[in-house]
Amino acid sequence: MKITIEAPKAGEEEEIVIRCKSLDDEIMNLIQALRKGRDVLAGYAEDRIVKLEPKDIFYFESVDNRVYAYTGQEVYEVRKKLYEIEEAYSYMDFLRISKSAIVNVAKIAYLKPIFNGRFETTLKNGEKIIISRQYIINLKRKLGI
Amino acid sequence: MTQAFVFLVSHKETGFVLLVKCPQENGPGGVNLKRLYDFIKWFLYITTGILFICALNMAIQGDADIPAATLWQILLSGLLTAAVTAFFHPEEEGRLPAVLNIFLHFLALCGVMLLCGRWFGWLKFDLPGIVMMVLSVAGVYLLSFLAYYIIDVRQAEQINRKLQERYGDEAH
Repeated sequence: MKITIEAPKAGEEEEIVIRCKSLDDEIMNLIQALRKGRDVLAGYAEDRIVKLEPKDIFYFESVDNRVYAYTGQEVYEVRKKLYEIEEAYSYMDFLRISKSAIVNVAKIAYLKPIFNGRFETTLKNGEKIIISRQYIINLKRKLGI
Repeated sequence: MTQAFVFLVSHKETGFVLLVKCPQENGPGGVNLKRLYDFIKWFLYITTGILFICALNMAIQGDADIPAATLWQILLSGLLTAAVTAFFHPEEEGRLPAVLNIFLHFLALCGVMLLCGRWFGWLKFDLPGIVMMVLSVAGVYLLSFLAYYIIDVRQAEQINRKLQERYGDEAH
């Protein structure tokens, strides 16, 4: 895809024009991302609040009505509901993989089947999480399979 | 108009013949097509398993003829056990821990098959008869697990390949 950046003339408003043959998923995701601007999440640790870039988050998990974001090494509480996160970041690589977790697909190293239709997913930091069969179809869809 | 049912003759992941493909969750009148698809899938797997066990049993016992009624009994017991399986949804995330759900599902299947066995006169309702039936159910259960495992291995390979293509170069 060709990207052209032009400076507006004096007095003109800044504008992004997308010239495309059809509005496919990729373009729609791009539009959504542009509309949302830079998504940064607030992560709450014991004594500090940090800005979390969604791309650095491996997965979100809901435990006892609290939602936590897991980066490679750290865990932060995120004061949002899991469904809000799912809605807000589904245009990125985030995907619901169980009732209580959303994973960043880009952080999955590989997965392998375990008993009873479940898949053990190894993340790029070595951590393992489980995806149940009912969510595998969504992962396949997300990957365009 | 809703594209409710798509009848297929082959299943792309397994190469096995399947009757129905479910393109979406809900069909006309709010029918949950995913559930219907799962039910038919379980019915096919379980009936095949029961048929296999029956064939094995008959071969061991040297029975040459199958009464016509037995074929209907196999289909009916497949239908009942598929209904029990649909109730437990062993492949979905439920409220019960997976192992407990499997155990209860297995017990329920044994119960249904024992009742069918008694009703259809497949077994003597004594200890050896009951043990034989439980072992048969375990055999069908293992066959179903094996079939699923083969499908899952293929799915995992497919997904891993795609993950590698798309994100393989990304550092974490």
